[in-house]
Amino acid sequence: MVFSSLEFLFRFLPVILLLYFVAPRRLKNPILLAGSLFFYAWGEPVFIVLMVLSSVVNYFLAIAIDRYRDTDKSRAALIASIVVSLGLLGFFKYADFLIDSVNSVFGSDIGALDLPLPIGISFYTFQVLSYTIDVYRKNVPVQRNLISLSMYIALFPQLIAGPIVRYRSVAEDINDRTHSVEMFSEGVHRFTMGLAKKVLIANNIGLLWESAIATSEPSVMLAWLGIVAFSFQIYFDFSGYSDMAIGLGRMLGFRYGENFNFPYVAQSVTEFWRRWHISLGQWFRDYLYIPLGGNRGSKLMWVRNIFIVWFLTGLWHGASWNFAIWGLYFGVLLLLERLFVADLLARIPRLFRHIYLLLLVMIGWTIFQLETPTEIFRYLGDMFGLTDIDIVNAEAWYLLKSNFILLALAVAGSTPIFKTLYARIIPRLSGRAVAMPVYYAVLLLVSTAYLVDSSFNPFLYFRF
Amino acid sequence: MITPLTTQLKTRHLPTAFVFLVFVFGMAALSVLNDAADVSTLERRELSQSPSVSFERVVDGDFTEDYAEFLQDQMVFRDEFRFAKSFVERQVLRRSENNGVYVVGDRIYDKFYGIEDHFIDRAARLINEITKDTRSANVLLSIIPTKAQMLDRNKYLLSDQNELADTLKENTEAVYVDLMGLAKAGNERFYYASDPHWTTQGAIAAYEILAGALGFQPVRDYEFEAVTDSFVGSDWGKAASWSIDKDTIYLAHNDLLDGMSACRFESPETSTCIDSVYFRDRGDDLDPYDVFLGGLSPIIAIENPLAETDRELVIFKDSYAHSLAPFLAQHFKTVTLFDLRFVRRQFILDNFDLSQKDVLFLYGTSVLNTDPQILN
Repeated sequence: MVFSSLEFLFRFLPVILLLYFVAPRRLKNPILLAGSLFFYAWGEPVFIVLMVLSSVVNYFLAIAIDRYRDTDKSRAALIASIVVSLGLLGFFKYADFLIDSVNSVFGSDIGALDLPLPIGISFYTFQVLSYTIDVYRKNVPVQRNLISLSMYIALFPQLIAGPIVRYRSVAEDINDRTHSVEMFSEGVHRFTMGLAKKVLIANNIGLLWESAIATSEPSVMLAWLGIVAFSFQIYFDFSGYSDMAIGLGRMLGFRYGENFNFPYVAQSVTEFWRRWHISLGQWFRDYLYIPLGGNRGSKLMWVRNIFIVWFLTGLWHGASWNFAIWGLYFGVLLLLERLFVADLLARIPRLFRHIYLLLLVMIGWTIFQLETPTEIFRYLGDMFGLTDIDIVNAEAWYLLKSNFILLALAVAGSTPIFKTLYARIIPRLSGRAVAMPVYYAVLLLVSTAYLVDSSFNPFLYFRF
Repeated sequence: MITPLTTQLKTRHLPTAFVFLVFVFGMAALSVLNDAADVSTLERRELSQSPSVSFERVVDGDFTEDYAEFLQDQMVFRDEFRFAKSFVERQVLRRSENNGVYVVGDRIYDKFYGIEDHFIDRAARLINEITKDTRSANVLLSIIPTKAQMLDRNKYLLSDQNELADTLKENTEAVYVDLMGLAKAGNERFYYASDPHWTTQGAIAAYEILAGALGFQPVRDYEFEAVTDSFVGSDWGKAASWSIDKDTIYLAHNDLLDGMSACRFESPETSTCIDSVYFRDRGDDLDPYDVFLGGLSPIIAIENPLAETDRELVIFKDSYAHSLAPFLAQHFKTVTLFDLRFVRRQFILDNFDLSQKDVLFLYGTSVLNTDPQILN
């Protein structure tokens, strides 16, 4: 089930909210667990077994890690947890990718397994690992309640599209959390904004990208419109989901960290990745980059570590070479920035730093979203006028005109303008007791209207 | 732990939480209580019904997929939400298009963009094959433009439908009779405001051109009867706009037309025959345009006992021909309409001798450009 659906908004959500808030404290976690399992099973009625298995196995392994602390058995339990978790992820997500790659390199003919990818497996696997590794590192106490641990892994707000919530960050909330009208209303604010971002902006502007790649009349202008549209689509979609997750979490008494911080206002690739999918970057930093040695060893080791981390960051987004190359592309850019470009960037006007970043990110998105090298090079060729196409054409002008207000909203929404306005103006607004609820009601109604009438509501993370 | 009621709580948090809860629980309750409708008259289609539950259907995901569709189709205030979305698209985002149609003034125009050359080439080839198979001496071809051809192509994203018509004209052996000029600015009355079809006036204008091409002096003496003044065309639901007026469907009458009878052959065994070309009982159908010859059918035959000639006409066609055919039938003893989407070409050749008949291919650009089954 996805948040941006009628069955979530008008079936699942009211039922879970009612049960959750009516239930006594000791029943709240079991209710959330049962609800979350139902939420997951709605979309994955078979692979729910996998998630339950992962939860139970890691529950016992974490207890073993704790019980045999400072012995080889503890270490063995941690290794077992990593092997089981990554093994399931590897098997279900990467087996066919590996088979396909081996076949093309060695000319072999190993048959594909054609396994469907369990939704959200990359997210919950990383969450589970953050738990067992942190227990091993003594960063968190072991969780002895199976229901509480399973609830943490399966908790529906962040289950299928993140953010990757580390156990450490919610350990206290799991055992004992408070609820208040303030938190609930903050949750409403985040959820409503996230829903509007996804349904009104991302889905809508996604159609512009679809038009650009499906066109029979390509032009340079249309290629640029298309990639700008996709850049907005993925940002508003992904950050919209994160907002909805954070909002739902807050309604239920959980405080999740931020996952996006206006990434398109960044002035360098380094800064961009501090602002984009923050929970993934932090996970790789804490559980891979630093254990590999980070930048503490020789320059060569550092370069190696960067490449490993970014190769795997790319692959995390999907079992396909274009994702690996997309990751490595950013790895190279980050290295270049640290080694050479940072000084140069510091000396050029801010506007050019923005252009530099946006250009590189948009080129990155073509690698991310178009799968084959032929498609990627053709699209980049179209963007930079290297193919034999018109600079502008009627379709591009029409699409620009049709999407102008939406694009303007997307530009403004990618910057902190609205947030600043919200923070400065709302507290001073005399009619805010009326204005803000009306504003949320309008957003909810219009989002529902688009859900009722639209057939285009893609789930972009089915490969994550 | 409940926090004390501060000013902020009263002015901001309580109203926000209240509105959200009222919205989510209110919509949930109303949508549960809402009786499922069978059809949407606005959208001209049957609506999904509550899906059946079985272990297999749940496991393979069919149930949840169908349930999502059911909920979307049966959502309480569905029409109102669709109108609201259309309003936001047009008035807030300032788009001229909603669900693939343009709303211009008080009329709706189907978007016609991108000519599917492979469909058109295939249509030309098949028209030539059928022309040869009929062994008829007099074969005509006419292409009906959609009304979007009237719009300014600098303002809207539209292809020139003349290109499509020209391809067929140049690549077929039939005698081409040009109807493309009907869809020019000023001729808005030739098409319904809320439906892609041409009005009775439009059909008469096309008839006069075709009658001339067939060597007849067109009949110009009619009386008109308004059979409904609240015709909601199939584009109305797509546009979902309050600004569109409902259409009036006029039926033409004179002695020749009133003397005709029509038979619809749904299959070799079932047929419906009436002493009129107007199927009034179909006027209450989801699509009131079905009043003309009763709507789509594999084979429809019109007989004109008052005809002054023994000539017979065969039309290979789509639905645009339904309001036009009776006018042509004024000059023929019989007019037989074949819809190749529902009857195979070989069946017609095996069962009908077309060699002594006049043959007309009459197709709309929108159908030619989208329906690969059109000339099977």
